[in-house]
Amino acid sequence: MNHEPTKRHTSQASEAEIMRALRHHLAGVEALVPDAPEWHESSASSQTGRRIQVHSRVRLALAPLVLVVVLVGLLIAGGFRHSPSGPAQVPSAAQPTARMPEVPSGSDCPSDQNVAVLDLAMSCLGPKVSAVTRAGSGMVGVILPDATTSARYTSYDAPYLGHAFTTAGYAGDQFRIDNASDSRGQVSIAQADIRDGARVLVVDPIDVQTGKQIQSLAATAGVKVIAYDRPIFAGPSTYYVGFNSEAAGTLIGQGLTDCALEWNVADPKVFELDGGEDTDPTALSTAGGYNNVLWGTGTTSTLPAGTTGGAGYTLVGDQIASAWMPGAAGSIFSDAVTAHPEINATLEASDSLANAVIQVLKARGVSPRTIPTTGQDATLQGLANILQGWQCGTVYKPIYLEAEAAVMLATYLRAGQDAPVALVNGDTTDPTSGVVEPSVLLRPYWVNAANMETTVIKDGLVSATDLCAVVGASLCSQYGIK
Amino acid sequence: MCTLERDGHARWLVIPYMGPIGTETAEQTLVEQKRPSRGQVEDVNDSFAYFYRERYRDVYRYALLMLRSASDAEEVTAEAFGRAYSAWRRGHGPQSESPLPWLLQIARRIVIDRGRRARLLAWVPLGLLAPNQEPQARDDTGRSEFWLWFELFARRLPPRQREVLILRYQRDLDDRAIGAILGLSTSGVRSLVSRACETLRRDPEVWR
Repeated sequence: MNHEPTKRHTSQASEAEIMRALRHHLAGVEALVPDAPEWHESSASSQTGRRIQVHSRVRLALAPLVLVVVLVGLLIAGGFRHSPSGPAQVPSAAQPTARMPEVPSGSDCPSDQNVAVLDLAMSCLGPKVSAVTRAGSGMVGVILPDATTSARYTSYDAPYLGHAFTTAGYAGDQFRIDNASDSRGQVSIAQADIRDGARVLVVDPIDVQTGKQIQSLAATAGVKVIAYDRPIFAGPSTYYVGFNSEAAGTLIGQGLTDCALEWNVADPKVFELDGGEDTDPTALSTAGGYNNVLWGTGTTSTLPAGTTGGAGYTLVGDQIASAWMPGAAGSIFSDAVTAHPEINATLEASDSLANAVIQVLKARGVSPRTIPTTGQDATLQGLANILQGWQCGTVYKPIYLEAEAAVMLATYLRAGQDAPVALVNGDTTDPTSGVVEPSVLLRPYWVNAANMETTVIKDGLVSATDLCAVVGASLCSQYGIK
Repeated sequence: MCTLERDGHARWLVIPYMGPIGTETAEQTLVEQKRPSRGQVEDVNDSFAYFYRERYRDVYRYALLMLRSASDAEEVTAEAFGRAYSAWRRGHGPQSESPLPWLLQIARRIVIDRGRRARLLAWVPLGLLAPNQEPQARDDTGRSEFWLWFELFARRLPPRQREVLILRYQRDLDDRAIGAILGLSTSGVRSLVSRACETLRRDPEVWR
């Protein structure tokens, strides 16, 4: 872009090309645009409005005087400036809205690092995929939901994606990350991206219909789509990047067995509380993962009481928490433990469900580190329960892995190359339509008290301050949370 | 980790682990200290304050590029939201689903009014001293690299062509919305954009 173009090249420049270049230049204005000053609805009309009205009234009343003063002033200054406002005010710099979480260091990259291993930082993989970046042309557009949907998009996804693009060798005008609060906004971003020459769209659709609509727009323009974190299930050129929920189940099962040993639970009599299998197929594959560990069967169906596994494990009950609802989970477990007081171990598919069970255990006077519970999502409450000895651990799905995988896959698709099998390592099937989406299924991690500091805290998912405010300084210092 | 606030979106597949937002659990109480709950989001969604927060930068950016002065942009933006708010309260909100074109229409009228006032002032004899009536990037915007480029851009493009490109830069606007702001049909917008591109083709140093 910096070279002097030939006349022929310039005269042939397409509208899209000019717009793209222009957009790049105009983006310089972003640093000059401040965030909104505080708005108080109750005082909006009385403050903003009054301020403006007073301004106008004063201006009207003083207009002749001001005019004379201005003219005299200008005469003296020997110049003329259109300056109806007061002294110049430089707007304050845009306030940061996102904290860039610490990206794992790639200082000790193994020499054989390749895209088959996605666990390491993009700083290791970036140089290796930059050749593919150079082989491609056009732009990659990323469309996320906005901060009102979840704080994660601006706080984590956007900075991680930007970092991954840069590390993979993209120039500033070769990728674009936007978000919108509604379906219409997401679709118009997609239209703008396509109009400006996007070759690949990475989309975290705000809902299923938006995803399908964007996919259809993209397909018409020959643009490939990567469904980011939520599958779209439409079109032959649509990929999915997300976490492997069966692997999450395996971690939960192993987490429980490790914990039962550590907490000296003899002959574990297990109550299993499954996720919302009635509404959510990932709950099914997660169940397949932990059932395989505990009972040696990868079944996703509810297992009968009396099922036995290795190491003296017996299943006392297995129930679904409909739609992952913790409220229902509490009463399910309360009934179960009343009917079967011998229950001495539990398995839950999420932190919310575990917390519901923990409330019942606390009400029954059970001490910490007695009856294990498990979870998923690394929520603040889940992490607090772990440090306080109520929960064994939780499944953590690092957002940066998703961001890096999406950028890597986008890089291959943009270059028109087949993505390595090690990257596109699985499929995701829509239980309704049966549509299969080739997928990058990422490995989740098990977080317990021992590795909390080096995982979720280091990655900035939960701040040590927030966590220690809940559990107290002594537990934090005991587990090295700082 | 991130699923709580995703209720209502594609729950059937990738949005697992969701508690019902209405159920009070200790976890949700904790989470809600950090993020708005779904109900709060809906409330905010409906309120003007939400649009103000969401769209302040968009209106400011437009005003800044049109007027090339940070203090003027600040004033115009405040006035635009002030006018919008009083219209909103009287029930004269945006006609379309998205409030942005409506807000920009209001801001545009204020910008035009200021231009008229400036031109009126220019009629007084001393106005003859003014080299032209086009705004220049003023000191309060700083002589940054961006403004040096923008001055070149502004010199080469007639005002309407410049404005349509500024609006095109605003990503949430399609040609129909830009047409609503400029008082043009969709094809009018397209033809204005092509004319602007034609001007730029003749002046590649502006955009290369």
